[in-house]
This record gives sequence, structure tokens and C-alpha cells, in this order.
Amino acid sequence: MTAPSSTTVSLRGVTKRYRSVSALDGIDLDLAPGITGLLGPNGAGKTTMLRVIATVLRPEEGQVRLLGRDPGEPNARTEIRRRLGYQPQELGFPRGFSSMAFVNYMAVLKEWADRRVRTVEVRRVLDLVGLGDVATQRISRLSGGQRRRVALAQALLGKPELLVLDEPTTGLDPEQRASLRGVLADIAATSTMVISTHQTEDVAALCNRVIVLDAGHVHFDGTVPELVSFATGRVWMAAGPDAGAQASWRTASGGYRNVGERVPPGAALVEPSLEDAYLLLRGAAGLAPAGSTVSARSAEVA
Amino acid sequence: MSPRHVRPVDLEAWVLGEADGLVSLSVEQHVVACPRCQAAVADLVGRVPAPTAYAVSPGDGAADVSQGAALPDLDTIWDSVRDEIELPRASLLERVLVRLGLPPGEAMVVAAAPALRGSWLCAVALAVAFAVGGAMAARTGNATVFLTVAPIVPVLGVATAFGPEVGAALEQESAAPYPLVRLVLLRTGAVLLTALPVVLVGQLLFPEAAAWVWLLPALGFTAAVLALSTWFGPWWPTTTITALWVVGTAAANRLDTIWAVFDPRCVVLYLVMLLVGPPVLVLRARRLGTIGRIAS
Repeated sequence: MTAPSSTTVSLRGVTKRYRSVSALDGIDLDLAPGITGLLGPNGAGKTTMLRVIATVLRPEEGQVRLLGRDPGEPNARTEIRRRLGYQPQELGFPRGFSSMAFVNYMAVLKEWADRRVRTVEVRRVLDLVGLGDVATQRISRLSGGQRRRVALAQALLGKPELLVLDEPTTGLDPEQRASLRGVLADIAATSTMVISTHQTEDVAALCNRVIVLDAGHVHFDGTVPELVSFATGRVWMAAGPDAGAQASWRTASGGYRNVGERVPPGAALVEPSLEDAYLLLRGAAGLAPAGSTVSARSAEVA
Repeated sequence: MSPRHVRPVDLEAWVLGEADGLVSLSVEQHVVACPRCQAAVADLVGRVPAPTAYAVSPGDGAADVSQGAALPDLDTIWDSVRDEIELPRASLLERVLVRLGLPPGEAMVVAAAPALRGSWLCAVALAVAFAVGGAMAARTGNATVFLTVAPIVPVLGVATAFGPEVGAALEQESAAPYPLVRLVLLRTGAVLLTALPVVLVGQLLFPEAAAWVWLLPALGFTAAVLALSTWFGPWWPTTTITALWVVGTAAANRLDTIWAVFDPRCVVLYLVMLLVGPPVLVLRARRLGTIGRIAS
């Protein structure tokens, strides 16, 4: 199988195991410029896949090509890293550093040798993520959301062509998330961005492609409308919970939202959301044989 | 700086905004009252880009205006102010490393390790105090305590340098183009250098050269810890090697003398560690990002 010419990330048969557990099990994937959202439960393999794409983890099997190069070759890997931004899920910062100092330090590692040019770039990314006013504060005194934005700022250094973000919106308040979405949407116009998240609304707002991972397999690969359509005709508002529903919860209006195949008594059909579709798909994934992929087309049939 | 005039190199650094605070203050004091250095500044200002020149030569503003030069724009002035306020000052260690010839970027990379910050320096001080106290308590010239502690001080320092806190930071660092092997070795080298106080104290206490004999096992253990860290993270190898060393020295001391752990067979073992560790580290360079983690 050959990747299309617009492909910037290509994974072929990528497998990574942790002892007997397969975090990734023969993943085949091509990504092009734009934002791709990774959804999936904890332990689905999202972070492992992002670490492979970020060149910090080598798969045991399979082929990886990033920005047209093989990250297994040292010179190519360095070249990829010059054009890569990565925000890991687990954050760590040298003790006593301010956000300015840390991003400045990361800029040194990213080969911004000229002090003045580097300073301008560091300010640009800190302002971009809304940390310009607290640039001199120690990171240890910042809130969780601010720390996550410090990590995002270093990932944005140099306007990378490939941006890998592991849960970038975790810990942010709604206003910060809205602001961050605007920033990421602007960047995605010229780069390939892969985002892992548990927030389906972030995926709905940002991503032109969504991939659902489960137990190291791709269980859905398509657009957001295609995933939402999976739930069309399967979401109901009723006076009470339906025992046969895939998921059921009380809403602010006092009614119950039931997601599933069965029509609850006296229920009214409502427009599905991405979250409804994801919950339905998770149920389908639980029943489907390991390794099967629910494509956009098969989701409609299912 | 010469007694009469500013050295050209300092003057140029000042005009470029690259002089540190102390040099800047000295140069400013001198230039205000020295027509010759003012002329040199004017010459330099003509050769460097305008924003840089304006940012560092406030005293020349009147002269520039009188000569019809454009006033610096507010953005330039504001950027200069932000530079002064926001840019972190180079730490003492960074300045020392730069003086020793390390490029500023490399000095920053080395100094970012917590090993060289307060907690580790405290640990070194405690170890030195322990070694000195133990030796003093023995009052017999017996070097046992010193020789037991000294080789594992650098090992503990290296483990601290790449402990869980740095492990998390390494995840971000390892996706940067800066070679991770270089980063790890630079920090390790710096940690080893900061263990020098142990040598100096030991040399004072044990002038018969006992102070130097610990160096080979220390280097061997450090190389082994770095290599094994690419599989297990730094703490398991550190704990294991430390425990084996303490048990070994105690047993040797009980049976005969602590010098038994420095006999030729043991020396060969330390040499093997020292020679094999670095190549393993380089061969497993792609695992360096996992130092600080138990598994990748």
C-alpha cells in the first residue's frame, strides 16, 4: 500500500507491546494536513501512537514515515524533529523555571541559536497561548491549565509542520478552551496536527477527521459528521431511563437521554451529538471482533 | 577593561546588548564621561542594526537627535524593557561554564538539571559532612567511611539528575533536535564535576592518596547506571549498585580491610563498567527519552 502524495504521517503495521499487552496492534494510518482527533478510552493506545508520531518511541514492528522521512534513521529523525512540535500528556518542568525560562530553554534545544531571534519567538508563542502576562512567574506557581499551556507553547515554537498534542485542553476552563481552539485552528491551516482528547466537543469543534482507538486497534476512521451519523435514529428523550439503552442519563430538563437501538416507551427522537455516537461506537466496539474497523460506511450499515 | 578605557570587546558586547549586568553598568559609567569611548560607541552604532543600537545606547539619544537620526520607536524600547525584566539572568553556574568556554546554549542545557540546583548541592554537602564526620569520629586515620561514601555520591547525583522530575521533562526534550546523548553526557559530566568537593575534603584528610582511589569505581558505577537506565530507569540500578557497594565494603572491612575492594580484580570490574557503559548508552540512544521512567 502506498500513501497518497499529501500524506505527512504514514503508519504501516505499527505494533507496540508493553509486556503481554499490545498498546498498538498493526495500525495502518495515513494523515494529511489538518486536525485529526484521537478518541478512545484510557489504555486504548492514544498516547502510545502519539509518542510514536513524536519520534520518542520506536515501534517493535511496522513502518513509520513522518514528513516523508524515516524516523528510524538518525539524520532523518533530527530533520523531522526540526519540523515537529510535541506536547506530552505527562508534563515535567525543571525546578525553579519560569514559563519564559522554560520555553527559552526548549528553544535552545530546538536550535534557536540567535538570542534575539529566540526571544522574539518565545514571546510570540507565550502570547499565543495567553501566558504573556505571567511569563516571569515560576511554573510551580501556575495553575494546572497554565502549566499545560506552557507545554503547548514550547510545542508551537517555530510553527512546526507536524504538531502532536496529547490532551491539550485538559485542565482548561471553557473560555481558555475556546481561545485555544482558535489558536489551533489557525495553526492547522498550514500543518498536520494530531490531538488526543477525551473531550468530544473539542473534536467536534476542531477536527476534520476523527479516529477512535480501542485496545490498540482503529475502530473508526472518518469525519465528524460521519461519526455523528452513526447515532442518527438512535438517540431518544424519554421520561425515564431505558434499561436496554447503551447509555442513559438525566438531563437538565428533567428528561432522560437514552442512546441505543431500542425505542423507549413514549420517547421522542432527538438529534444525536458526537458524544452519543462515540458511546454507541464504544458499545459496538465491545461487541465487534478485535481488529475490525468500523469505517464511515459500515457505521451507517451497522 | 583597561584601567583607562573600555576594551573593544566589552564595548561591542554592550552595544549589541550582550554584556551582562555588571559589565553594562561599568561600561555605562565609563562611557558617560569618556569622549574617546563615546566616539568608539558612535562608530559601533553605525555598524550594527538600528534597533539593537538604540536599545543599548540611551545616553546617546541627544547626540543622535542633534545629528538628525530617527528616534527609536516605542516597540523597540518596550522590547528592551521586556528583555531586562523577563529574560532569566544566567545563573552563576551558567556564567562559570561560559567562562570555561562552553557556548551559552550548552551552559543553559547543563544548568537546567536539578542535580545542579539546591537539593543536589545539599546532598553533596551532607555526604561530605558524613564522610568528614565519620573519619573524624574514627580518629584513627581509618578511611573506611570516606571510601564507602565517596564512590556512590556521584552515582546518587546522576540518579537525581535523571530522576522522575527530569524524566517527565525529558519527554519534551527528547522530541527536540538537540542530541539526547549529548544532553545526558553533558549533565553527567557536570554532576561529576560538582562532586569535586568530596575529592578536596578527602585529599585534605587523607593525603596518602586515599582520596583519589574512589574515583575509578565512582566513574565505573556512573557509567553502569547510565547504561542500565536505558532499560530500568535510573533508580533501580542506583539502588542495586549502592547496596552492593555498601555490603561489599562492609564485608571487606570485617574480613580484612576495605582496601580489598580496590584489589586488581575489582579494579578490572570497575574498568569494564567504565569502558562498556558509554558505548551501550550510545547504542541505546533512542531509549534515553525513557530515563526517569521504569519502562518505555
